[in-house]
Amino acid sequence: MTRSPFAMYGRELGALALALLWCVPFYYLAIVSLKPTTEIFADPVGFPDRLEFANYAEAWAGTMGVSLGKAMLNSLIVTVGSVLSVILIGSVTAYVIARNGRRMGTLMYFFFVAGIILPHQLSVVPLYSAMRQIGLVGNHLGLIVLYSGLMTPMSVFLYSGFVRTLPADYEEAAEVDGASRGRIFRMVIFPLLAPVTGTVAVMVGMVVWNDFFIQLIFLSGSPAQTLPVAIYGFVGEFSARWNLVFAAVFVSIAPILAFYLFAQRQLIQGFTGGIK
Amino acid sequence: MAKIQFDGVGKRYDNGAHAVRDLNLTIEDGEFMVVVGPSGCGKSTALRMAAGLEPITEGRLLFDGHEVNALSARDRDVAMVFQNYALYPHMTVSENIAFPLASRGMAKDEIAQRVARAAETLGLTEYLSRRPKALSGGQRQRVAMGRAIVRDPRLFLMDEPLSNLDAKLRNQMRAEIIGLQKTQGVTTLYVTHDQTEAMTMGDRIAIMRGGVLQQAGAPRDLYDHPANLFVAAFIGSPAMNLFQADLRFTDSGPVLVTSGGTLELGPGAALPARARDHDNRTVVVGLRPEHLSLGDGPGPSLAATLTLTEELPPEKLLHTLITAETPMTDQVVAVAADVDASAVGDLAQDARAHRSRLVARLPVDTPVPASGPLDLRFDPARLHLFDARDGQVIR
Ligand SMILES: Nc1ncnc2c1ncn2[C@@H]1O[C@H](COP(=O)(O)OP(=O)(O)OP(=O)(O)O)[C@@H](O)[C@H]1O
Ligand SMILES: [Mg+2]
Repeated sequence: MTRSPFAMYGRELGALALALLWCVPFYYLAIVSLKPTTEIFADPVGFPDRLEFANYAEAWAGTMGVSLGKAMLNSLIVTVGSVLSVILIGSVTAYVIARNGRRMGTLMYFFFVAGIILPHQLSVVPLYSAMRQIGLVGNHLGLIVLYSGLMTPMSVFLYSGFVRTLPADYEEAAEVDGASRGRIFRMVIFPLLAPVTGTVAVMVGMVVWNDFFIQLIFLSGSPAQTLPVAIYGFVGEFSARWNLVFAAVFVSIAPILAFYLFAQRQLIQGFTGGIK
Repeated sequence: MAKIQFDGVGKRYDNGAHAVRDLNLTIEDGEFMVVVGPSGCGKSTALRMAAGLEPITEGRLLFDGHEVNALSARDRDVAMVFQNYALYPHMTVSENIAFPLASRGMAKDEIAQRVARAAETLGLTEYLSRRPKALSGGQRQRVAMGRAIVRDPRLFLMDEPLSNLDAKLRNQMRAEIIGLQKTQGVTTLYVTHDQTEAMTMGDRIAIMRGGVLQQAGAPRDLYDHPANLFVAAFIGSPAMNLFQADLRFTDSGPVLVTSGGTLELGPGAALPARARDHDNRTVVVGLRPEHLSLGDGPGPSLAATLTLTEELPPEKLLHTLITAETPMTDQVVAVAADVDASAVGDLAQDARAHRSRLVARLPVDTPVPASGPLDLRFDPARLHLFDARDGQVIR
C-alpha cells in the first residue's frame, strides 16, 4: 500500500483533533470539581476564581457513611466477582453446548440467545422482591449473582462461537492421553479460549463498573454501596452538589484510566483476537 | 502391549454412512500393522474405533482377549499420533510430552526423567522449552511421537502421521518410526494411503476399500499374491500391468486371445490350478513391470509400441501400448480414481481405443530403440489371472 505523505499527515492531524475533542469533558470535569460551592450555579463553565481542593476531601468522605475508598472497593469486589463468575459459568456452559448433540446444543444455545435479547429492566420489580426474600439485596453476593445472570448469555454466545471453531483434535488427543473431562477443560480448552476470555472480561468489567440502575436499586443505603451509588448520594432531593459529584467522578475514573494505560496492548489484542 | 482383535467390527455413522463393515483383523502383540486404502475407505474410522474416539456400532474389539467396546478412550491405555499432530499450542514441548504422564498422576520427578529420555531419543532436548508454533514440521512430528512413546501404552495408533512432511523428511521419519517401534516393541496400528509407506513400514498390511477389508498379509505376500484386482492395482509402483484376454485351452497349451492377436503361453505353461475352470472366459491378465523383458529368449512375447522411456537409474521404465482391451472394472477404476481424476479419463480413453498401457522396468543400461515396435517377453509363471466379472484372483 502506498500513500502520499500528505494523506498520512492529514490522517494523523485528524486523529489528533479527534483525540483533543475527547479531552474536553475531562477539562470540565477537572475545573468543576475544583470550584467552590458558591460558584457552581453562578458560573458553571468558567475557570474557578479559587481552586477548592477541599472538595476532594469532602467527596472522599463519601455519603451514607461509606467513604469513596470503601465504595471503590465495593465496586471492585462486585466487578471482579461478576467477571470471574461470568467467565467460569460462560465458558463451561458454552463448551458443553458447542460439543453436545445437535438438538440439545441448539436448544440451549437459543435459550441463552433469548437471554441476550430480553430487556432485564422489565423484571426488576419481581426480581427485587425475590432477591430480598433470599437475602441477596444490599450485599456484594446479590449483585454478583444478578450480573452473572445478566451477562452469562452474552458470554455463552461469544464462547460457543469460538469453541465451534476449535478442532476436536486437541480434546481427542487429551482424551487418549488419559485426561479426565475436567482436566481437558482446565488444561486444554480453557487456555485455548483465552482471546474470548479477554473480551468477556473487559465487556463484563465495563458494564458492571459503570452500571448505575441495578446498583442503585439493589444497594442504595447499604454499606455495600458501590461508586455510582455513592456519587449519586451527592445529588440530594433539593440541591445537587455538582462540585462534589465531579470530584468523586474524577476519583472514580482514576483506577480505570490506570488500567487502560497499563493493559492497553492486551485489551486491543483481546478485541481483535478473532480477526487475523 | 497387547494383541488387538477386530471381530466383525463395523461402523455406521449417524448419517447412515457405513464406513467400516465386518472387519476381521488380528494384530499380534508387538506387530506393526499398516492399514492402507484410498481416501474415504474407512481407515481413520477403524483407527478411531480402536482408540475409543468413535463408538463401535457392530462387532467386538478385543485387547488381549478382553472386549473393550465400552471402554472410554482414556481408559484404553493407547497412544495416538494425529495427522496434524494436535500439539497443545499453549504448552511447551516438554509440557506437551509430559501431558499424558501428568494426566495419569505420575510423580513429578519420574515425569521429568521420562520426558528427558523421550526428548533424548527424538533429538528434542534443546527445544524442550519452546512452544509448538516455534518448531518446524519435522520437529512437531517428533513432539507428537514423543507424546506417544513417553509412556508404555498397550497400542500405538497413528493416522497418516507423515503426510504433512516433505518427501525427504518423510523417508527419514519413516525409518525412525520403524526403529522406535521395534525397540519399544509396542503393538502398532498405522494408517496411511501411501502404498510405498505401507510396503516399507508394515510387518503386515491390511488393504481396505469402501469400508471392506480386501486382504491382509505381509507386504511381499500382497505383492506376489494379490487376492483381487483392487489389491493388484493398488500395491506396487509402477502399478501392475493389466489387460483383458480370453483364456482358451488348446491342444498346443493355453492361449490368451486379445483383440490384438493370440498369445501362445506354451504347452508347459504353469497356470494356476483353477485356470481350467475359466476356459473360454474373459480374464484380466496381470504382469508386474519387472517381469517384462526385451530380447529373444524362451517364452511368449507381447507386440508393443514404445511411447516413452523414463530413465531413473539404476532402472528405466518403458511406457508402451499393446492392442488389448483395458479392464474397466470398478476395482481398477477405484484405484485410478484415488490417483486423480485424469487417471480415470486416461483409462477410459484407452478402453475406447482398444489398447492397454504396459510399463516395463528394465536395468538402465538395456539398449532400447527411441520409439516404435518392441517385443515384451514374459514368463507365463509370472502371470496373475483374475476373473473379469468379480475381479477375484484365479488360484
Ligand atoms: N463423523 C462422520 N460422520 C459421518 N460420516 C463420516 C464421518 N467420518 C467419516 N465419515 C464417512 O465414513 C467414510 C470413511 O471415512 P474415513 O475418515 O474413515 O476415511 P479414510 O479412509 O480415513 O479417508 P482419508 O484417507 O481421506 O483420511 C467416508 O465415506 C466418510 O465420508
Ligand atoms: Mg483418514
